[in-house]
Amino acid sequence: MSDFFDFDSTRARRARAARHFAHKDTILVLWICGWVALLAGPLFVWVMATPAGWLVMGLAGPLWMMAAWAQDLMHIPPSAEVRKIDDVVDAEVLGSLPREHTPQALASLLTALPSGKFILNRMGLGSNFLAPMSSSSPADTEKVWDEAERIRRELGAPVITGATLTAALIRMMPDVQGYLAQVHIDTDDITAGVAWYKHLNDSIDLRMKPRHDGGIGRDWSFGYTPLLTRFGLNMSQQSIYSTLLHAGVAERDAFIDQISHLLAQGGRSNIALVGGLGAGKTSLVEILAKRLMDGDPALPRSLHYNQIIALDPSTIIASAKGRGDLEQLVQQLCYEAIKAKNTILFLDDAQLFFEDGNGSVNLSNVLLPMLEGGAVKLVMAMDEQRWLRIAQQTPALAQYINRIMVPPASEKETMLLMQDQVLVYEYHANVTYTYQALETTWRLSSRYLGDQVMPGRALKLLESAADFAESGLVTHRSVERAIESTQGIKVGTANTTTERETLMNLEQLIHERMINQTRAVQVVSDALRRARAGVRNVERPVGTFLFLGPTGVGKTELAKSVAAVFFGGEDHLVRLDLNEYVSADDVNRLIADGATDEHSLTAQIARNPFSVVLLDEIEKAHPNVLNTLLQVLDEGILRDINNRQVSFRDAVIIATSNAGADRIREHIEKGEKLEQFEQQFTDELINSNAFRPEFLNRFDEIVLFRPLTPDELMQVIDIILKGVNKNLAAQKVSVQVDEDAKHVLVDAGYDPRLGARPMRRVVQRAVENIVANQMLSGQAGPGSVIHVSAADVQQMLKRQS
Amino acid sequence: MMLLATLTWWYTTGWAGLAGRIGHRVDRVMESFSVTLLLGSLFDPFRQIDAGRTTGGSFDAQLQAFGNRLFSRLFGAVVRTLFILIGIFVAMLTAMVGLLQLLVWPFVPFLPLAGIVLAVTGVRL
Repeated sequence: MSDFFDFDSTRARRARAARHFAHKDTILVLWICGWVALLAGPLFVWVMATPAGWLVMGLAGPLWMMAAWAQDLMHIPPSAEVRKIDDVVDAEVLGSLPREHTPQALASLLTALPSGKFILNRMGLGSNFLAPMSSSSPADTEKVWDEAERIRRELGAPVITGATLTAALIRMMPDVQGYLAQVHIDTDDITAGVAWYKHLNDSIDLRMKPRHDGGIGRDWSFGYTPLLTRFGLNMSQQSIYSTLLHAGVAERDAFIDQISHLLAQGGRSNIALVGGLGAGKTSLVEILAKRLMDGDPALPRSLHYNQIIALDPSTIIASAKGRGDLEQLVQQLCYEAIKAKNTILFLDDAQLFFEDGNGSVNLSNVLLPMLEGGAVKLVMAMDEQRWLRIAQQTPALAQYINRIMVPPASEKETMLLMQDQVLVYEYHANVTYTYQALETTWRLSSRYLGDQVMPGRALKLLESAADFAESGLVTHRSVERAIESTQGIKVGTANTTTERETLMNLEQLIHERMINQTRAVQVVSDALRRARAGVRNVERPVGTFLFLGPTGVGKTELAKSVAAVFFGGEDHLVRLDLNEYVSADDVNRLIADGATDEHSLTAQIARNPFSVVLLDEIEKAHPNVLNTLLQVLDEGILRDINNRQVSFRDAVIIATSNAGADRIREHIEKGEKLEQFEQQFTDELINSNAFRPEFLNRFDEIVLFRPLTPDELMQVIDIILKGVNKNLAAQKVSVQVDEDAKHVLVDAGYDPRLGARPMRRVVQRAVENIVANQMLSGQAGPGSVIHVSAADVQQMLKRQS
Repeated sequence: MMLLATLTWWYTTGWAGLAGRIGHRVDRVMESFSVTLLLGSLFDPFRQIDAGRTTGGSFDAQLQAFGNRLFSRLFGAVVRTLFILIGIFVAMLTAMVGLLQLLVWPFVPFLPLAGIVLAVTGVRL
């Protein structure tokens, strides 16, 4: 006998017997056969007049004994004292364990058990992963059991399930982290998978428990509520049939305790649940309704079997002819609730009862006396902004109502709530969610779904991911596709060869569009590569840069290039001229609601979070605007005017400024390189009060752009001409400009103060006009190559001037 | 070995388990008939009809309201008492059936023996 496992223990023998006999159908057949034998035996004796029938009757005894015994085997609890693993292993596993076994044999066994399959499937490992990777040495078996026991204790689970043992096997595999990394998990996630299995079992056990609904006379001491039935929704009645699962998420339970305590304490039992959309306010009330109807002993006895009725404002408003009728109706509804003595009113979106507007009406003059008197039990739900607004408009309201803040759920709570809800989604969509899908849902929804808070936004995304299941499996990719499809954003990591090549050759690709500024290009490229490879602080924007230098040296062009090369198009550039944001009120324009101003910064980034945000002439912005933008640089988050969170964590923020342009020019003219005077230049900017040090410190990099030399301007001309030829390609015409003509263009277009900016205008005036004239006069047609000489350019420029 | 284990279980855990299940069954019956709830609210107005307090009004009106309340409470008490009695009766019936089960339980293993004895002795109906 091994030291850690007693194959012949009573519990192990019972578990093996349970494997064969403890099936509902077997038990039913045994009971029926017992009764048939008991009745048929004497009948046989009577009809056939032979005493042999008594033998048939005697069979009833063993049949019933077997049925009762098999029924008892359906539930084999763990032993009170844990001496060996057979005292604590779940019967499902214990009944299948051979006397001697290796980790590999265990793995083969677990691959066939539902609990083992749970971990393998939910972690995306597949059924062929476990056995080949497990040790075949009997010496390792005890270590696996020790690890399983350690996990059991860590999770506070009563038994070692197949899921626990599978996790132990995986954790004991050599070099397993590498394998797990390929499916985007680690060993801690495997343990979290065991916790998920336990949580699901707890949820199902809770649901299978017999209800204590109070019986036939439950409501005899309470009044009828015909009006409330007509104008409200009985949440308690609904909770009986609801699919809502809730297996003790401690933080949520604390809210329910708080609500029930306030409702039971007497006096003013008015409660406002205040929290963001999706924080779970209505769900809390649903769970409370369910627990009250179940006579939950943890809740105050005085509230047992109280019903919660949610008033429907639209039905109430629609049925009343005028304001007077409406007020009278609401009054009647409240009196009915008071007289019934077991009714808690619930006002979801309570602002609809306290504000005049579309589909809402201010009934505070009717409700306030009710709230003040404290006779009616009332729970309302609304978001914080509306609460503050109503409290400001009707200060008495805040006085009579107990406010309970319902904050967004934490990651742990959200994961548990998702695990509860997954069962319902899986049932409806006939799919299976992986653990990675849940983790990805948390990560992506917290970043991109700013219209709700947790857990609402995660549950919303999780449900929509079912539509993107592949082979019935909802993976992290399904979640990514769901958010890409609904939000129109790209969230996957660099995983295609083309994308990798783009990242590796960023500098070269950017230089196809702009000349020199190699240091600026390199700094930006490095930051983008780090971001795409996942090596960055994900709580901040991809990169934050301050571009300093004279006008027309390529600052804006680099921003456009990044948008085009990194994000796939110049339409991914959000440009703000901050010289238009010079007053304190302009902050409101930055964060305006997308419904009223689709060009506000928050609206544009909410629509397209993968963007380059170009903040032109940042030194001209009002300090309040700058402070708002500092928050973006720091946290990668900005709240819009409706307090919705907009993430800038996938954006590249580029601020530009001409401040100190002359000093840069002076340094360059002295023959110094950018690297030599960067620090000194930054200090000068701070000393001259052009920028505050805390502002400059917020940027990842301060990038200096130097003025372009005439040689570089020649290359700029080439790029502009490339663009001209691209436009002419549709006409099947091309243009060739002689070298000396280019020199003429540079001489005409170069301005030390404006850099390369006048160059495009000069090319337009000269080259494009020559081409246009030739085409219109018939000198050039499809297939022609138009040669432009220095004389042509000089003549055209002269004519223009 | 298995027979011994089964017999041991039958006269220990199995028998105790049956007693526990019978107890639960009786509890369920009591709950289905709301016996505890009805006892706690025996003289409450039935469904709160005419249960409201009257303040002010003429003496006649107050007297009528008092009468209505009294009737509602009396009616409630009668209905509740009736259901409590029915509930207790059904619970007792359940308990008696359970008791019978408990009494029969120890003899079930002897049924084959009884069958053999009856067959051998040639008892006929």
